[in-house]
Amino acid sequence: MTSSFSNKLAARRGCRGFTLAELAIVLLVVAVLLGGLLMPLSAQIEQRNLEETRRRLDEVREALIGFAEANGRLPCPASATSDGREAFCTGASGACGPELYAPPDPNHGRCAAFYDGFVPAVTLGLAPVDSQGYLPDAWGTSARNRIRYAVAPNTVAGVDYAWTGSGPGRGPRAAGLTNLGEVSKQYLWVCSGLPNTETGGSCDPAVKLTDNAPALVYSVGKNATDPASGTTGDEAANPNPNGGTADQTFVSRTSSPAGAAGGQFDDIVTWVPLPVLLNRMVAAGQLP
Amino acid sequence: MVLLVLFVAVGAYLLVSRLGAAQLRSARGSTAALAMARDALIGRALADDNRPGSLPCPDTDDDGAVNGVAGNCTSSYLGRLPWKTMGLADLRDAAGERLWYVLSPALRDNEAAWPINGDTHATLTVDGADEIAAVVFAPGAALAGQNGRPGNAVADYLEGANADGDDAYRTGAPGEAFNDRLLVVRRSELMHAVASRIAGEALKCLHDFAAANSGRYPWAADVTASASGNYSDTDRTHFGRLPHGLDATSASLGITASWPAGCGLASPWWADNGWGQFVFYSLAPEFAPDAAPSPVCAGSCLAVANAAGGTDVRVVVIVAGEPLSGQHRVTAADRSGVANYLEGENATPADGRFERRAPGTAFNDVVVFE
Repeated sequence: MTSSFSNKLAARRGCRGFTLAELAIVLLVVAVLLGGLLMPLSAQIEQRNLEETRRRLDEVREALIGFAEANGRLPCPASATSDGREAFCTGASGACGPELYAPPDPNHGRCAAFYDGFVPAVTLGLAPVDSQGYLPDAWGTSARNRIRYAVAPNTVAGVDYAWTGSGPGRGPRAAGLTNLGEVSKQYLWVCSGLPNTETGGSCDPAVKLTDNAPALVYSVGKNATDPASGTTGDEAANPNPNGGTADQTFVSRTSSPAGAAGGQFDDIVTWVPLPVLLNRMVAAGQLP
Repeated sequence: MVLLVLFVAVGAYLLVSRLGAAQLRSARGSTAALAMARDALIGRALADDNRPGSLPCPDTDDDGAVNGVAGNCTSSYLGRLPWKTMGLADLRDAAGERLWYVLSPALRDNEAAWPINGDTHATLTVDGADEIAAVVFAPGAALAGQNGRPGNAVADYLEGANADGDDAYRTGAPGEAFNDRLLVVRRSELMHAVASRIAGEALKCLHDFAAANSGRYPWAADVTASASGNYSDTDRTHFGRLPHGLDATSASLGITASWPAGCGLASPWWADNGWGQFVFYSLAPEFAPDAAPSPVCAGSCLAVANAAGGTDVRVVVIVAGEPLSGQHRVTAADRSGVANYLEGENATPADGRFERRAPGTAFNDVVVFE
């Protein structure tokens, strides 16, 4: 018995443990593998945010078309202070005056913020909204990540604010289907690069995607919280938390890092195609 | 052992995440792009200013703009979808390719294609089904032999019957030799959308006419006379085609009546495309031109079934769709028969009762009223 016990003891002594070096190698390998795993994980999260934001933009686009089917006009953008409701001017012409929040809907259709407003999520009944009633993109819930919305302010066939006006003698029905549907009506311009001659609504033919978008929805992307972004290069064409020009011209293109031609760009832009909107409004009996 | 497990776990994770995301994107991407293209094509067709129902020529050089001369598709009827001209985004299928598109030559936006209306024959077929107005293709990834990408040759993008240059196209299960995805725009759905516009134009004309004439509407044009092309209104006629001339109405009203400004009926395209044959009109006797000003319903107003607010109706406009089985519109005698245009309750107008139904193989009237 004693001898067998001592034999076992001897055998156990012969079984060596891990050396520090071996342990270090294993940890290193695990660390490398985990690193390899985590890198694509952050990329995946980024991708998921991108897809989710695109999905929300598509949802807004459908909601805008649905609003037009039900109301015969497009909604005005929400302003920074309208808590997710449509924001109109008080005056139909001249000074804008204090903002009016629909309902009741002032039928002149003059929006307080045609180009640099937000999705009127409360008016459209969209969710999820932040505590102020705005629809955020997938990157965050701060005011900088709110999804933005622009609508064409054009006069068509003598009807002022033809897309947003309502009531007798105003709005799309008064402007007329064929007048609204003319080619190159020059509603909102979407360019694939910064226009050389951006003068309140135009871009060079070489970079023009469309000049016929009645409404446009965009997210300023992940870099919204970076105070240096969005004020230079192509992003500056799209009004954003840090600046940008508020006019009828917008830029939509694939994303690029800082230092690329046109600068850092991560805005995600979509618009309501004119023929699709006309199709659905006619089907709903809102036009002609 | 630990390492092995880790390797397998990491490998499996990467594989699954890639596969799942890729598959999801491919299914969603192509479907959404095709649906958007179809909506836009129908919208483009119905909003056209002089040939409602006409379609744009395709883009044959991949710049996003239509190719052709004044709507005559001189290069080809098959090419890429002209996304830029149509105001669309740069639509791509799941493989990142732009969409392709073919239109029926009879629906091109050119004078030579006049008239374009519900009787216009669309010549494309898909899997043998005829009267196809247009087809939108998602070409998918390049298959064996399709080495010319990027390029503009059809065979580098579409396969088999879709690339052989004739008007017969086909769908199929994706595989080694075929991976086109098709979305079909049928003449029936295209013309139903256009008929909605025509109906809207007609009702707008009538609405504006009544507003200018103390609530009274014009007499209808006799069905038999209008079948031979005489669209003058006919005295004491409460049902017929929508009139172009308003002499009888003027006589009843005691003034020279005319269609108001901005009325589509008065535009040349209405007659040029022969829409007059398709637009029927019924008038409640209380609101006829010989009634006293500011009339109200007094027992003989019209009714429209299956429609909100379809009682005490003053006027009904019915736009006929494409000819259904058994409907013939060749001779003047054919065109004098209301049943060759309208279906169901709408084919018996004398009772003042009309109906709305979902469009299908037994009913395709568009009914609007006020």
